[in-house]
Amino acid sequence: MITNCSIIIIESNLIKIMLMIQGNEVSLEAEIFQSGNEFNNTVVLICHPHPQFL
Amino acid sequence: MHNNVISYIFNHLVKNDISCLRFNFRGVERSTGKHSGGSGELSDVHSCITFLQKREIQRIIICGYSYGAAIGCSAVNFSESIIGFCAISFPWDFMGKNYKNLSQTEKPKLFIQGDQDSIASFDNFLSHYNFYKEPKEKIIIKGADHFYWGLEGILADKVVKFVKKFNPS
Repeated sequence: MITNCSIIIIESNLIKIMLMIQGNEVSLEAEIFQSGNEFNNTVVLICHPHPQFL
Repeated sequence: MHNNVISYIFNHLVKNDISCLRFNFRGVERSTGKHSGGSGELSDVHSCITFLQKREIQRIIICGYSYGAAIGCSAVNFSESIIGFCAISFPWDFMGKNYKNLSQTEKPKLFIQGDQDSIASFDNFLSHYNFYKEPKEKIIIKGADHFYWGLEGILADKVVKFVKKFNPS
């Protein structure tokens, strides 16, 4: 459950990362947009549809 | 990261200067592992929430589309940091009761549904919607099927308006 992340690309406030999930050897591709310089505000976590719809 | 609905929502949030995170479930594109049919994907959502909390994010709104609504919104009670959810075309009828029960909450909820959707069936939408406790709201998008082609902008605008209610600044 505990996650670490590695940053791949930074484009302005858009950060592309890989979230590493310890224990089950899964890493998740993710993108984060940080509002201004603040990252302690409200964050919308967006979940994709089933892979067959991608 | 390649879905028309999700991309519109993500980009519209960015344009409105609202912090957001999107990710691919396990086994999709560059995410490793294998698709697990639900339990592993729910764990993926939990991991993203944990990741945000470790970065001292105190308020999280979940926004899920289709399968992502069923999985994502099922994590609504995982943490007090989650303050509400937006479910787009929640596929109750083929995801089973477990996800419906897990997504029950007294936190604010928005359900968006297309009136031409035959996958997340519009015919049964109201009966499922009525299951949920207040506070809740629904938006029916006329002419939209499950894929919202050509209507993504309208959809994304509804999501942003919902999110702004939590963060009026």
